[in-house]
Amino acid sequence: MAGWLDNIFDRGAAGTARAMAQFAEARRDVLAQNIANIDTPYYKVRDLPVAEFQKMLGLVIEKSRRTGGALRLESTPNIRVRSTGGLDFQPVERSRANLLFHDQGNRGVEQEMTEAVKNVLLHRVATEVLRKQYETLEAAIRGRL
Amino acid sequence: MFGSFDISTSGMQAQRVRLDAIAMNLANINTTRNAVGEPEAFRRLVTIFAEGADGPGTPGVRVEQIVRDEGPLRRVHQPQHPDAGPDGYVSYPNVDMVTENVDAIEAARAFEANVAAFEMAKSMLVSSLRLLA
Repeated sequence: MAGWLDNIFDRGAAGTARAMAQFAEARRDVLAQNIANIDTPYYKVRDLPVAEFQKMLGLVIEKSRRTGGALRLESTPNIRVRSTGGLDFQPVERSRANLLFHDQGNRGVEQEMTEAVKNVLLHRVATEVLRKQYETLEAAIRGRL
Repeated sequence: MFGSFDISTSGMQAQRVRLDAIAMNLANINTTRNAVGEPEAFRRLVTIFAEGADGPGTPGVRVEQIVRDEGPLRRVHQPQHPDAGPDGYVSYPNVDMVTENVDAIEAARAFEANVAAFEMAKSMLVSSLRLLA
């Protein structure tokens, strides 16, 4: 989104929540893939770069606070920001050195389910924040509560 | 958008095929003859999964192969049995009920894990749709 719309939709919590929801939706596919392949020989579990994303988000929030402008996401080695504002993520192999099967696979259904549940909760928080923001915006446009 | 639904569906499908193979093994636990009635013990079926529902590089999982377990057969001394060999031993299938039952439980649980992942994807889609309301 360009121009003045940026300042309405991507200011403060809304921009952060939007990025979080996008990340959670992309991560859902990767985690579903891990669960579907739980019995596939030689399969190695993958994940999106969670720490990298959080670090990037932290930095851009800091920057937008300092400059007072809209939130602008930045590309990192495994995250690409499209010109349209969408995000592309590169899945990375999750390292879990202490639990390996004979086929060098490192899968465990418990960890996948835990991550999936955490992911759903994160997504719910993000969409709930977005919904509240849009409601506030709507109230401001109508001029009454 | 519907990617993770398809991934979970392929997982459910693969586990169900595995359960079919286990049911086949259990049903044939005492089969000493092949499909055309010749004396040949049944050999247990093993399901092998591979990544990618529609071939390599695609999301999901597929059943790559169902192979026969060529492991040693169960030999029982039954000289009166019509399928007994010259030494009086009958070859019974290499199906072990405990192994099959454990496999069946694992397949059922893995199926449930895929159902749970499907439910989670559904609840995420619902909360995204609520943004419109």
